[in-house]
Amino acid sequence: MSSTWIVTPPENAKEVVERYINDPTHGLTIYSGATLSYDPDCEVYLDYNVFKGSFTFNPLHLYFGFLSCGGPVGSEENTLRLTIDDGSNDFITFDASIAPISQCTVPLIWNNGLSASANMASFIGYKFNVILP
Amino acid sequence: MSSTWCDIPVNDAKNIAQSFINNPIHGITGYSDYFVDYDEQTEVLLSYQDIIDFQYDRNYIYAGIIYLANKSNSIFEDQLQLNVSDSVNFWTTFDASAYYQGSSKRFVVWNDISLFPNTQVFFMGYKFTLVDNPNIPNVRILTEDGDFLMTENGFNLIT
Repeated sequence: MSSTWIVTPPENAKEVVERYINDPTHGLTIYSGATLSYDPDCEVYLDYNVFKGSFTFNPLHLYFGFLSCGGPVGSEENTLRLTIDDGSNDFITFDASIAPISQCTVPLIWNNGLSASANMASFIGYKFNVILP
Repeated sequence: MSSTWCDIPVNDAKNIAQSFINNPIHGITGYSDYFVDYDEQTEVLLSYQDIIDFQYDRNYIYAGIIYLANKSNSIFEDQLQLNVSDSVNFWTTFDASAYYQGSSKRFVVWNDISLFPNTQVFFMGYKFTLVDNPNIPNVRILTEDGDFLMTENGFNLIT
């Protein structure tokens, strides 16, 4: 497995995501005590069509990596909203409605999309498996 | 744990934070003799809500990459201001009002937020501990010229 799919090696990302979902301030109680694992094919690239509507939520999967948005300049249309969802609770990690996005690349953790993006969006990062306690 | 969580290796980020707080130009006198330290949980990712909920603690300092995902003409909207603060003095290290923003990605050292953002902001970097006036153990060094004791004040001949 390559350790340079993105700048962050998967082992580092895994440990940070584990701490993030176990942080009580995020309210993800179902994930309390959960750990993560990853497969040799954990490196993923999700293109525009995934965010357009073909993504299927699974609470036993978590993604860490970089989201790129490329909407029209000054666009008010981007409605992309990403969360970490443990099946009962969710924590918003990206909400384009806070500020319409022209172009950006940001790091984030997520596993569910509450609203499909109306603009170009893609993601490159890792897909982890959640191991509940 | 690998040292490459983000673009900047952890030890480089630590050294930059160390130099920054000890630089008298910055006037952060409360940190003049502080040391920067870290453990295996130093890597942090803060999303927008984490930053909105941020609580200042003078015992910590952050170094890493701040990402802004702004509206391209948001010059009047983004008001994020980051500082390094020893709770008495502070030095502003990021001020979105100072320039036309758009989206950006840049390295910053900070531990306090004086103006909270209303646009998308993310931070990916390291959370370091600030250690006050660490105790330097007295080390006895035996040489042919005598025994020396190394202390905070230098070497002293003891025998």
